[in-house]
Amino acid sequence: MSALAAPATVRARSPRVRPATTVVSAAVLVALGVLVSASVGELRLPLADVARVLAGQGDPMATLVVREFRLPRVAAAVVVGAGLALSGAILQSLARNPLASPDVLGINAGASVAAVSVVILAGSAGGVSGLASAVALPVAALVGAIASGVLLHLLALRGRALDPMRMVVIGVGISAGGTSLVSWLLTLGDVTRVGAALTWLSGSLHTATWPRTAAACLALVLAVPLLLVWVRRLDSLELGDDTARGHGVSVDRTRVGMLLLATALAGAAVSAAGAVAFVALAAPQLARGLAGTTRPPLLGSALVGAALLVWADLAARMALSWLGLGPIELPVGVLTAFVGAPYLLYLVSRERARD
Amino acid sequence: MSRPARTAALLGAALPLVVAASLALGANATSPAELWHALAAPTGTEGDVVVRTLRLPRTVLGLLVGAALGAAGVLMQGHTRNALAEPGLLGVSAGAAFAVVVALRVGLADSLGDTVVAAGIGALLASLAVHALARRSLRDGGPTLVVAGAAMTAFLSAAASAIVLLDAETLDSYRFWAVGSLAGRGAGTPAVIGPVVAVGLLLAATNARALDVLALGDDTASSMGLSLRRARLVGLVSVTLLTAAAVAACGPIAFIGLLAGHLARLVAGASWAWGVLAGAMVGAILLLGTDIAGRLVGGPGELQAGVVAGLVGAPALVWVVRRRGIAL
Repeated sequence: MSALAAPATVRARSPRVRPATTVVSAAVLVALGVLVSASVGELRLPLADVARVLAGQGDPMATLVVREFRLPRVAAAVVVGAGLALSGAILQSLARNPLASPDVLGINAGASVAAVSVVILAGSAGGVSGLASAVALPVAALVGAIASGVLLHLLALRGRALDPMRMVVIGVGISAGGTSLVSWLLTLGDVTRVGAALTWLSGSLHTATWPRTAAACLALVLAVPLLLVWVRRLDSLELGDDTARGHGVSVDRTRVGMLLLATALAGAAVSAAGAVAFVALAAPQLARGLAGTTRPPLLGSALVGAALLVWADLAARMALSWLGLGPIELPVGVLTAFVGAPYLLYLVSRERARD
Repeated sequence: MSRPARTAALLGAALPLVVAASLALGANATSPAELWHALAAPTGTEGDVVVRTLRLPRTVLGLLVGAALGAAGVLMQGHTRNALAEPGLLGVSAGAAFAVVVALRVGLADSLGDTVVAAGIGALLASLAVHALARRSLRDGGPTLVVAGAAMTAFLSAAASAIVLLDAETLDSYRFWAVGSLAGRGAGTPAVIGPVVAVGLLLAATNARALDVLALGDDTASSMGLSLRRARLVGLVSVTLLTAAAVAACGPIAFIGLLAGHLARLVAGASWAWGVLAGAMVGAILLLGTDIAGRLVGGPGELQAGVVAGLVGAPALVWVVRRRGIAL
């Protein structure tokens, strides 16, 4: 036990980095990740060439590779990572619990049910390409996410004092119900479609395109003004329901609004990249730890999330070929789950230590 | 008649009814007369063949696996003192399932016996992990345990995805097994898992006495001469055997253990001995019930028992949490 407790103490005592430094260093990590992602791949481009392409002076081959293949993907990683992390930061502030995140609370599961229905049932004409892939899949994922967010609200929040753990367990229940629907859907289609669905379920940036990234980006842009208006309410909620009411905050309405916003952000992110796991959970907590604030900082979380996903996608894209296993890509979500699930277990054990 | 005995009698009466329904109902319902004909004096009519070769093995499998899941749920709830503990939610089934996927991939799961062994190893490792977490989460009633189980399930299914995504053949056999179903599992399956389930149930029955004592608290229990380590070890082995047999035969089916454990405690009162018995019976009734429901609502195809269990179980989980919270 003592061996397990030791790292936590060390971490708690390590010097806190101030919020501004967190933001700057995360932004630098994102920028570096974008450059490296643009240069590494089957065709290796020196950073100087990448810079030339970005300035509009590269040779045609390099321009094609960077502009059409690598930049859309890394842009998607930035937007999706930021959206997921922001969603997690809002939910964690709202629930006053580091375990709250769209994946744990069943919001990703709702999106998954809807998206997999489209992939499997869209009929042979639509398939997973064409119209179904471009429009129906993202829209379905968004609608599914919002539907399960509403369900969560009705079951765990409406008209009750907030009990964070109960909210989380009810979310786990929604998640489990969704998962069993998904595994039924997976038995229906032919095996190539099931493969596509499973890739979506893990979360992959392999098929990222400019239009889908733009749609997710739009959600992010729309969310920012709302968040700026509401950030004070989040601060008040952090102090407890009664204190917030004392500050003149309408607790229930703030909760509904924030839950919907977080759900929409997660839904938009997931609709662009599939159900990437654990970024929404881990990024806000990392940002909070770095910035030394009581609740996850919004901007810091978004940047840390973006940095996480950019580097994770780079690793997922290159890991197997670096290991000499040939040019096979892993879905990025497999990688984030590998890293994120042990982190969640660590959070759970630390949560108890703090109680 | 005491309440537990009355309950046992009631469940004992319900069980044959569900078994009869499972034998009679399906795409083409069999009349009671035909059913009797098929069971008592078969002459090889179409109805006889359907009942004897399709529905009978399936029903026996449902009884075995349902009883295994139910008893495992009760044991886990007793040992973790957590009303939400069960193999599916806490990641024990996911551990077994992951081990089976690995075995499928490397070609070691050719026979059902091998699959049971692989599932057993996975379930054992996962229950050890759950056990370690549970020991540390006793004080807060253990809602965190459920989240830890969800994390473990997420981790193991990501690992399983990574394996099956690289290999279409494994993916194709994996998806039909991973959904959790009693259909098409082969006539020989009950014979293979039967002994494993029997040993698991036997251990569960002996472990129930220890749970009765453990319910008084660890200190009291050890001062009464109970070896805590041995009680936990027996519980662990029993849960592992029961889960491994169930998962190897039917795939991971969640919620049956949760519901069976909860209902068993509701009807059997404070005695864990009756609880284990009632849990096994309720589990069998529930699994057969979900299987029958899946056959009836599925139209030409059918809805797998695992899916029905998820659709019924998720609301039930929410109901449990809202009604009485998480602590047992």
